[in-house]
Amino acid sequence: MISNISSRILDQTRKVVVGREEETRLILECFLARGHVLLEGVPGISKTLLARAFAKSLGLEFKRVQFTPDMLPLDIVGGFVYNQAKNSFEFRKGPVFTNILLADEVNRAPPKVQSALLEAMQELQVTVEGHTELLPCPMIVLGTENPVEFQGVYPLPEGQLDRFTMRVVFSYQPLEVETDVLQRNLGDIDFGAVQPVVGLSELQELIEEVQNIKVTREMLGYLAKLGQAMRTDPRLDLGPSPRALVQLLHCAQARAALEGRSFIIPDDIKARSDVVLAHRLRLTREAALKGLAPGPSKVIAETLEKVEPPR
Amino acid sequence: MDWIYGLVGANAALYLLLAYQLIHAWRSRTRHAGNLREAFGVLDEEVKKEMPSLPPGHTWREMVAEAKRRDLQVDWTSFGKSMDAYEELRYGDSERVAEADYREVLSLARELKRMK
Repeated sequence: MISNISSRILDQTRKVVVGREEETRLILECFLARGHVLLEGVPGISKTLLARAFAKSLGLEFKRVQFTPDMLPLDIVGGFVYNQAKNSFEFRKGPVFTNILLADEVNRAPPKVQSALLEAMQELQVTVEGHTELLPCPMIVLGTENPVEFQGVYPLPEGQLDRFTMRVVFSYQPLEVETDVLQRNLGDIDFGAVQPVVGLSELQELIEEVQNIKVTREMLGYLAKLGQAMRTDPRLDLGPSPRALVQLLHCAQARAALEGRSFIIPDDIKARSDVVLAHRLRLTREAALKGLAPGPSKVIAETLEKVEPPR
Repeated sequence: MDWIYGLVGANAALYLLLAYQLIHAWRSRTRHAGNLREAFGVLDEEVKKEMPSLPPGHTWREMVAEAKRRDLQVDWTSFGKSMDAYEELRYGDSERVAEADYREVLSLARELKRMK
């Protein structure tokens, strides 16, 4: 059942988004792995369009928040408002109470707002003045970030980046695909054509199925070895956290499930190492000055080449 | 007397040919494998010896992608089935595939040796 969900969703998102199949697959994997995604790319590269189409194809509740420097945590998580009729304060839920939240330009919000959102992502609950509300399940945050803008932004610190399971980089499309994008945009984009192809209960079953994907102790050992090898790499100031490895494991399980397997293989871990780990690692000043391009990805690739997987 | 030299020459050529064939047969021999797991063990050893360009962190699928680029006499469909079974056995702890066919796995090991 799970192996064809990917093609069903892709059939829908293709109706409005040209290309971006790999990005869609990654978002789906992350969703099934109960994680959150940071979408990185310059403006106008179809990040928001894809997020909307993805949400619609899943038939889940979707909200979009444009982050700005003057936002308050209440604008995200909600807060207490006075109800004159009842003569009491009642909790009004913020936009984070949804299944899919598109946090547009998440790095434009001040640290307090980022922190409120990221706490909600981690705990899947919101606490305001001692009052706790659970977020809906499943819930995914798709945060977008523009990598070339530095004015008026508050870069996400490492601790908060660590909450995002994956960073999916949106690059410019190849010439032929870009021509198709232009062709598609000659008329209006018809969002009505995107139909929900999965129900909420089915999604919850799929998420459970992913959790039951078999992982042998040897595979866990392989993952731990990769983590330790990166942590001791002299080119890195900050290696992957145990949380990062756990999330990599969950993504590997989701990948295996989408490929129709009931167990993970080393290729699952290798295939998802870069998208799950690269945004969490920090190069030493020396390595950065030497221009270790493209950043920690090179360290990850070299570690994967060195550490022997179970064969 | 010339015919004696001719005979010695022919004998030498015959023995050289025999020696070459013996060496070739010895080099091409494949260790015995009694089951799928052992067959992949044999293949792993050959891959390490005959495909030094593969990094230590390679996976079976990466090895297959690399091997397919070489001109090897292997039935890749049968090999693919054996590999699926082995992955299920190795990473999925499923014993029900332990009896799967592994002849093409040994063929690949032999071919890698032959190509050296």
